[in-house]
Formats: sequence, C-alpha cells, structure tokens
Amino acid sequence: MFEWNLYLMIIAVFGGIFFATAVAALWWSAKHGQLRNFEQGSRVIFDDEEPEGVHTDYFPGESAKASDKLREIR
Amino acid sequence: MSDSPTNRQQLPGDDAPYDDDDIHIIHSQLMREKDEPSEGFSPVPIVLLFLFGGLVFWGGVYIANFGGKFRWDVYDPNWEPGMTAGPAVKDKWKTGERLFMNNCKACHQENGAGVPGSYPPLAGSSWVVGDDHRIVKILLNGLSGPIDVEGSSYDGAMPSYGPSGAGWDDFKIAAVATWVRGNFDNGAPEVAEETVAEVRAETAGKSGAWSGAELLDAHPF
Amino acid sequence: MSPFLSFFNKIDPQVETKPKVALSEVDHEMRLPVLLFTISGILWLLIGTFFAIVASFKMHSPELLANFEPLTFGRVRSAHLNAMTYGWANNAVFAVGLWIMARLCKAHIRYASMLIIAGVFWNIGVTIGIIGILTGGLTSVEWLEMPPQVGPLLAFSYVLIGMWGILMFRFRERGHVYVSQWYILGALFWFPWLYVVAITMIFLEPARGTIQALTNWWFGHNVLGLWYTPMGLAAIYYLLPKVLGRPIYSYYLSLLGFWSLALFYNWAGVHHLIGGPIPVWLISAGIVASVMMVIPVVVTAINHHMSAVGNARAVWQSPTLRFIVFGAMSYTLASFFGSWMALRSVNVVTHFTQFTIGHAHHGVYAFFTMTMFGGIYFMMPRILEREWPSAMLIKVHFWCAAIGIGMMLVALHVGGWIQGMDLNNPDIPFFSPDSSARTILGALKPWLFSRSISGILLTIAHIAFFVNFALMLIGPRAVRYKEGPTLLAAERKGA
Repeated sequence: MFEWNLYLMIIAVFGGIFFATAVAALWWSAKHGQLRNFEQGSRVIFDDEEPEGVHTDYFPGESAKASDKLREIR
Repeated sequence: MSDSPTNRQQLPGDDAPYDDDDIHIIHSQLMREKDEPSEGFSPVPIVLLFLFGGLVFWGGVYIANFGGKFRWDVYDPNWEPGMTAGPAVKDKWKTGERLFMNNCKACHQENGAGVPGSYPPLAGSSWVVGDDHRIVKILLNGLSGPIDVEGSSYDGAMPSYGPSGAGWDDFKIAAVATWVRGNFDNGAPEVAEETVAEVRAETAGKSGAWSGAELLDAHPF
Repeated sequence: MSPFLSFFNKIDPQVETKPKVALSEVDHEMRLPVLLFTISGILWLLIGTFFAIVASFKMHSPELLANFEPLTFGRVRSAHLNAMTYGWANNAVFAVGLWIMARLCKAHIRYASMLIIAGVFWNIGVTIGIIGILTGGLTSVEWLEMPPQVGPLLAFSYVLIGMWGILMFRFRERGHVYVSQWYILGALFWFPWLYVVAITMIFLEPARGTIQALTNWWFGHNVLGLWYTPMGLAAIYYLLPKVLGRPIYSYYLSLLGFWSLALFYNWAGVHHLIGGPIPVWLISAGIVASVMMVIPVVVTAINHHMSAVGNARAVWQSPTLRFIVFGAMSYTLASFFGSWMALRSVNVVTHFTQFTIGHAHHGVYAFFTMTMFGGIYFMMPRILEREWPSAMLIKVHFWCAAIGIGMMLVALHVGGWIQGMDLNNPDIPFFSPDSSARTILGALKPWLFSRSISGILLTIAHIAFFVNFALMLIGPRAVRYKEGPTLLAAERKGA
C-alpha cells in the first residue's frame, strides 16, 4: 500500500499548507483592520474620476448626462 | 476645481427638480452622514441567522444519518451500525438473463434463434438440452470448428467464458446455462453451481476450444 | 509577525493615504495586456460557438458532418468545452479580473511584460490543445480533455499571471482590501492548486481507481466554483456599486459571503458521483456542502439586490449593468438549482441527463459569461479611450444572449427532467423502430432541437459583440470618446 500512503502524505502536507494559508489570511485581515470600518471600506472604489453619486456607464451617445452631473458636483 | 472631499460633497441647488442622479447624490450624501459604526459590524438580518442555523443543523443530521459513520467500507447511504451484509441473494435466473443479454445476444439473438449459416440457434437445440456437462464445457472453454445443429451446419468459433477467456466464476456459468436451458421453450432443468465446479476440475488441463466431435463423443445427444 | 504575513502588510489600512495614481493612469498602463486577453478571448468565444453549434445540431441530426473525422461528436463536444473554458472564459477572467485588481490596488503597473508573455503562451497552449482534441489526441477526463502534454505550458503561463496578481497586490497603494480583491486573490491561489493537483493525480502520477474520478469532479466542479465564480462575483461587487455610484448595501455581508464560499465550495464537487463506488460519507459530505452553498448565495443575492433595488432605470440605461444584473440574478438561481440537484432524491432523476448540461450553462453562461460581457463593456472604453461604436449592436447582443440562454435553459431543464423520469421508468425504451412508440429519444428530440435554435440566437449575439468590438478597435478616430466617463479624467487634467 505504498502508493496510498504516499498520496495521503502529499495530500496531507499540501492540504495543511493550504488550510494554514487560509487561516493566516483570515487572521491577517482581522489583525490589520480589514474587518473594521466596513462602511468606509465599501467606498474605496470611488475616486475623483469616478466619484460616488455619479452613474458611470451609459449607452454610447448618452453619456453626456454623466459629464453634466460631474460638472455640477464639482 | 478642487479635489478636496468636502467640495465634492456639495449638492446642486435645491430649487431644481430632482432627476434620478440627483436622488442618488442626495442618497449617497445621507449615507455618508451616518455615524460610523463604532465596532464596524452592520447587523445581519435575524431571519438569515435562523436560516443559517437551520441549515447547519440539517447538515449535521444529514451526515449523522447518511454518513456511514465515516467508514471507508460503507457505500450504502442507508447503512446502520451493526448491520451485517445479509446472505447475498443470488438469483440465477436474473443473473443469467443479464449475462445473456450482455454477452450472447449479439450472435445468438434475443430470441435464441441464431443467424442461419453463421451462428447456431440455442432455441430447440439438442446441444443445449440433455446432459448439462456439454453446455458447461462449451461455456468454459469455447467451441470451434464445424458442427451440425438441427440439420444445418456451422463453422465458427464460440469464445471461452472460463479461465482462458472471460474468467466467469461457477455461479455465472451456471446462471447463464440455466437461463438458456430454461428459456426459448427448451424446458431443460437448471444447472447447479456444483456441476460447473465438477466440470471445471475435470477439464482443468484442457487448453483451447472444444471441437464438436470431442463433445459428442463424451456427451452424445 | 511572520515574514510571510508582512509581505501583504505594506500598508496600514487605518491610515487613509491619498492614492497618487489616478484610475485613468491604471487603465492606460494596463492597455496592452488587457487588449491581448480580450481579443484572444473574443476570438475563442467565436470558435467555441462554432463547435457548440455543430455539437448541438449533431444531437438531433447525427448525420450532419458525420463523415468528417475532426468534427465527430466526441471531439467537437470536447473542443467546445475546452475552447470556451480555457480559451474564452480564462482569457476573459485574466482581462477583467486583473484589470479590476490593478484598479483597486491603485498603483503603477509593474512587470506588464509578464502578462504579455503569459498571454501569448497561454493562447499557444490552448491552440495546441484544441488541435490535439480535434485530431483525436483527447483524454477521457472531462474538463481536462486537452492532451496532457500542454499542461505544463498552461501551468507556466498561469504561474506568471498568478505571480503578477500577487505582486500587484503586494505593491498596492490602497490599504483597505476591497471584497473584489479578496475574491480575485483567492481565485488566483485556488486555480493553480486545482489544476496542478488534477493534472498530477490523473495524468502524471495517476492515482488508483476511484480516486481519479474523485479528483476529476473535484477539479471540474471547482473550476466553476473556485475560479469562475469568485472572478464573476469580484466583477459584480466592483461594477455594480461603481456604475450606480453608490456603495454596496452591506459590506459586512459581502465578506461573510466570501469566507463561506471559501469554506464550502471546495467540498461540493463530490455530488457528481452520487451512487458511485466511493465511501458514502464522502458523498454525504459533498451533498451537505452543496446545500450549505445556500449561505454565501443568499448573502450575495441580498447584497446585490439591495444595492440595485430602486435603480431599475439606471440599470437599464447602462449596457454594463444590464449584463451584470442578468448575471447576478442567474448566479442566485443557478446556485439554488445546484444545491437542490445535489439532494439524492433529485439527483436520481437529473444525473446523466440534459438537466446537468443545462445547469452547467446556467452557471457558466447565464452567470459567468454575461458578467464578463458586462465587465468588458465597462472596461474597453476606458482602456481604449473610445466609445462603443454602436448602441444598436449592444442591444442586439444583450437581447439575443438573454433570450437565447433563457430558451436554452428552459429546453435543457424541462427536456432533461423528462429524460430523467423516462430513464428511471423501465417500461419506456430508449429507442424503437416504431416511430409512434413513446421512447426516451423521441421525447427528448424536440428539446434538443430548441437548444439548437437558442444556439443560433447566441451565435448572433456573439457576432454582434465581435463586430462592435472590432469596429471599436480599428474604427476611425471619429468614434473616439467625445464625452462620458473617461472624459472625467481628461477634464481633471485640463482643469
């Protein structure tokens, strides 16, 4: 049954590494504030070029609306 | 223009009628002005918590019921601890039919009539009925060369299902022989597993297929 | 702190640093790799569609091209699967996923040449693989039909891409890790693990017996679950709030969704082997995990719904969101179906029928591919700084794709269910020379035929998409952006 044991060992080692990585990632994210301030975290996708409150996608030819809105905001 | 966040938050005048985008801006403004939650945990709807709890509970019950106690040798979801495998129900007739349909039908045909000139019939054949050692020998070692069956002559080769061929055990050989002998209005009695074992021992030194003449010498019609 | 963790911890997320790099700069620097992946992805989409149409027609008209060996059913079906999976879907993931990653990291792009090399080798590998399949060199392992010799080539390209993603993450300028980044980072780790283990345990050092089957379905299911799904969800989590201009409804729920997906999906593939000769606890565990997938799905569905609700007009006015919302809704529905199909009592009907094929298209097309279409519609104007040339073609693309896939799903689910019930009924023969007799084949044929019709609709959709994209790429300068979102960047610079 050499073959079986070999596989079991390889799977156990890699599975262990894999699992440890996941736990480490979760631990890291908790430790470094990734799980705090959710409200703020959800806003990181916006910036000056594509700010919050402006629709940024229209069919071609209709996107003037977005530009106008942006000018108003600014 | 300015990049500072405070300027960006300013709204257009209140006098203009709001369109979709205005509402969004106001909406986002309102959302921005909410107090930051001190611990940063927006609550999960309570219904969801109940749903998730229920799911986890169901999962545990399911594994307990159908998990086979995590044994490597349990393959039946309805297995219970202490359940021993009952005596294997061996139905010669059903097994024989299945074996025939999967292995014999292609040549001897579903109705056992064979193909004239190529494959001899099993229905009403004197080779099948009578002394059961004959059919068992054919199944075990095969049969090749010219034979006469019910007035027509055939010259083909029947493969072996015994040790030099498909390697069937005594039960399988007995099952298919029983089914062929009992079906197609042949009406011959069943073949016992012991008979097959006996023939197998007797012919252990035999290599290659039988010829028709050899068989008829040993087991005349 | 361990060195490993400090690698990811360049920035303290609590200190708000002002990013120095504008989105338009990121877009500009990503132009070449994104273009390479998108162009090859769309070409593979067309090739895969051709194989799909041939395979689909052969299901009800088996005499079609029956004498042309490379296009016999066994080969063309696998060629379709592999062209779509490794050709279209992976290229689309590389383009959209990496672009979102780059945008969220807000850093200057480094080592873009790694992506170019990886992209070239990846597509060479897939081409060799597809030719191998068509010339009869295919393996018998579903999802891995390409001759195993191309495995190392694909693995090499993949490693480059994965490393690039991780390097990009390492050098990010933004401290907070957005939920899309979690998904993309997770997927970048998961896919090579899946692929290398599957290749090794099935081809290079074959494991014995049923272990191969287990590995096969663990891989096959997880390609969808731990590679396409997280990438699709990353795109939805980025683009839905982005286009609407308002943050996601509950960011907490989105992270809960990510971690529960990471926990449960890996187990679920075993439900493909219900009734198979493997220890029953493995199958039961797979079934439980499949049902547990309801948790991330409900969480994600609520989040997406609450983010988009009340914005119907905005969704309708945006080509991106039309596709994205379609994809998000399909994700919810397909996942519920998947959990339901994993139950033993349901699986006994749906297993080995067209129902399963329908479910696969529900996930890979209605959810994943539609989402990627949406992503490309948002991404390309920013990458090329040009407007899409034709609103009409976008509408044709959307409607043909939506109606086509809807029709296909109805046909395969209903037809598959009938097929499953018939297969379990020993009184109904598979085929009978008597054409008036009730047979499994006879009952299935109209559904297979409607599937072909839906395939034609999808072909029209893909051609419209291709034409629009080609015009955008090679069109005259007149169609350059005159207005609209990317102008925001120009305005900012000019102001």
